[in-house]
Amino acid sequence: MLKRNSGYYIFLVVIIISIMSCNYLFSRSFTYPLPPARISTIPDYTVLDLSTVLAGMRRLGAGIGWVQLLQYYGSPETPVDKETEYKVSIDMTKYIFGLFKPEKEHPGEKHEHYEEQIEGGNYPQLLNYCYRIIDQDPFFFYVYLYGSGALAWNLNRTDEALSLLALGIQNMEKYRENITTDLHQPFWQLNLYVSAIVYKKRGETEKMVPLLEMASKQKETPNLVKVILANIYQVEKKYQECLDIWISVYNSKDPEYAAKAREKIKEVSRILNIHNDLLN
Amino acid sequence: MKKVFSIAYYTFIENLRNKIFYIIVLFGVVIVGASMLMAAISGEQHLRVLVDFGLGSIEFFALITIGFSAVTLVLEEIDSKTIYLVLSRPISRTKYLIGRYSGLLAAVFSGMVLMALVHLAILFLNGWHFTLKYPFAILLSAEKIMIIGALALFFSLFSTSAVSSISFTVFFWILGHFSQEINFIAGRSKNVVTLIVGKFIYFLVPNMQYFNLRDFWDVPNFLGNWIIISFVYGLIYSIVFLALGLWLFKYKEF
Repeated sequence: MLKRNSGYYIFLVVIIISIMSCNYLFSRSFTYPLPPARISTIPDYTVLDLSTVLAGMRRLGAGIGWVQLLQYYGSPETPVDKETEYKVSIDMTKYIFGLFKPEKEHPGEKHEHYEEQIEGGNYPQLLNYCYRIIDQDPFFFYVYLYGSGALAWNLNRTDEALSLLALGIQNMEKYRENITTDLHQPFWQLNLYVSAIVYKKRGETEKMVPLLEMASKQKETPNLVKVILANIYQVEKKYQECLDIWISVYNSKDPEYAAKAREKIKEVSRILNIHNDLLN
Repeated sequence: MKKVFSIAYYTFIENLRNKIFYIIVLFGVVIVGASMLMAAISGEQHLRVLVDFGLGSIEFFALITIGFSAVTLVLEEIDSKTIYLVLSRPISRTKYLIGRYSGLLAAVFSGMVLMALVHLAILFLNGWHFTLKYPFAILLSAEKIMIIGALALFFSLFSTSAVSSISFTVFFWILGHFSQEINFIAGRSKNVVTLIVGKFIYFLVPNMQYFNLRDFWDVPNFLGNWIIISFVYGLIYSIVFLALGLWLFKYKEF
């Protein structure tokens, strides 16, 4: 019996050594392209983030983090009254299922502007929300652009925006060295944003605008950045350029900006005294 | 070979009739619902979230299916005594187990293909452009499922309880995904025991990150030779654990 058991143990040891040797050989030809997982920068989501790492779904975790960032940045910091909250949620549900078009206005009809109640805010955790996503997936390039745009132009926190972009540049450089010889177009866009934000910080709007123009023509540019440029154009009374941007935002079919884009296209078209078929 | 094929075919049909299609229907409902919600709440990144959500779900549903089915693959037949009907015929235990395993894999893979087709349809409806990464991501997920199937079968023959077999399988699944972090911690540790234990786990457990193309989607130039290497790795691991399972099954007394 003992002899038979010894045979089993020897067999088991041989198997374990073979598996480990095989794993060792394969591990030499594999470079894990993501950085090691870190503790979440938003403590409330530590368990969720750890779960996605353990399940091998870091990219999906970054996607969930992105949705949560939008929810955070899209929610009022000061609580709204129950009635408004109820109305907004019902309207949103109807909007998702195509039953509600908030921009339909009729002359003489009174319009409830509950949006006024839910605008504004400092969103102190916005940078941490961005870091949380990037920790999961440093290649989520859009977060660098969106986060830095929101921090710099909407919240006037240029230093935080620059630190986010610096991390993006560092990550991209690091991965360019380690993994690839061809890290295509995203890389220079981050530098473009850095320059634009530095000009904004110095108050040199005339130098900032051409950079934003260049940025807004890129494929991955967030609507948030395009809208910033459109607002600058409107202040500078460049209505045609302003209208073009709002039309491109409207055509992107982003539900976040759909109503606003319609409203702006109407407003600017009225100023230019042109009829726009797009909204019919 | 004909005997193996017959058992595989029987297992394939058995699984299709039992579980796979219920899970696919559930998946279809979940993914369609999620796609509508995701499109509404992910802003301009809805396609990315939709791709990740779908690929993750396909793998997760396949994992559940293979985990539960592989663990009960032989145990159920032993409990219901139907195994005697097969093994009393001139068929070796090796052929029986290989046939059962192949049939189960075929059923789960066909389920994955169906789920991928539903997912692709939703993606195309949302304006997604096809990339070769998608079929490769599914292929590598299938490799994971193949390894997990072999592991689950091995554990089910190793332990008599289905619950403990499932626990072991899930534990290996998690460790397999966490092994890179374990290796990192071991490498940073100044404690020799931590280093040895960490490296031991890292080199023993199948490294599931090798098959995680859906996580490395945006990593430039990642595809290349790695697909072939990881395919070979998955194959070796599955064969080793299937062989261990065969070895246990050979000496198993009913």
